[in-house]
Amino acid sequence: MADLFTHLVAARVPGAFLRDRRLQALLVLGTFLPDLAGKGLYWVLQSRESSQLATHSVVGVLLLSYLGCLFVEESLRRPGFWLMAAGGVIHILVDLLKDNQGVGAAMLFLPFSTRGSEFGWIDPENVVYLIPFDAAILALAWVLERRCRRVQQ
Amino acid sequence: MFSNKRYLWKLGAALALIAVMGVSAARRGDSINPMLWRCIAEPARWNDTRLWIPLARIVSLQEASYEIAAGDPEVRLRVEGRAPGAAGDWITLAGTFRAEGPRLDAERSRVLPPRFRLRWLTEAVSVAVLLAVLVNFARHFLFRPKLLQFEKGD
Repeated sequence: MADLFTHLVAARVPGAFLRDRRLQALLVLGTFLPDLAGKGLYWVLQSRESSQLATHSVVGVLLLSYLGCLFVEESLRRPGFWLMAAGGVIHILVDLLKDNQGVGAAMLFLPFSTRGSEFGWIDPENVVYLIPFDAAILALAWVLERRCRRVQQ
Repeated sequence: MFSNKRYLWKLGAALALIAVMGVSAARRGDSINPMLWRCIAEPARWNDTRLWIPLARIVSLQEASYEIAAGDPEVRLRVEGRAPGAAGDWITLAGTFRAEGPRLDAERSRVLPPRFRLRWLTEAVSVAVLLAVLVNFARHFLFRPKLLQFEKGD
């Protein structure tokens, strides 16, 4: 898991192009779902740590997004599902950036394959350096979004 | 698929499928990267298993091997290959576990810089971000009768 701030920024930037704030919130929530579900399984239900692998796979993200969209109003479910799924995919892509010594940051094709994948671009301990960059990108996205809204009004 | 028709069935099916995937991943994942103490306890069972040890401390150095301490509970293991650092350094490594010894044939390893101890900062920021996102989510989706009354009266 990268830090949640980086996950937030990775979803918030494309989310700035969505006008409906509820859909923005669903995209951001979708980005957090793999970790929320994984940590929930581990900390709350006391599952084995490896059960978190399921929430960081393509099938896991689709299932979690479907479950999540069932809790919003009917008219929002279809776009909500796709946005939460997009958020989950963004989450996995950010996780794949990490270098886990070739073992893989996620098993994308569970339950069909246990092969781990990673891009291996960032050492996990360097994630802390991303925090100031994340803050700058988030501030920029916020300013641009506000300006766009003013122009539209 | 997204309508309210047979809502509880859909909800139950989604929850059941996620539970099945979690159990399956837990069982299969157990053999993907087993805990180090399990490998030491049953070396024959885990022979030739690929291991990733995210955090280990170099305890002692020999000419062509070194000993590490890792895991919770902490266990010691001999690693074949040149040590990436000095005794006392924290390292991360991946390799193949061999029952003979037992030992680990290292494939990749590197010394962790002191900033790996800043993980608590990343986690603290993560918790703060999570709380902020949940508050924002509640703002958009929580049912607020007072707000509705105000809008109606307005």
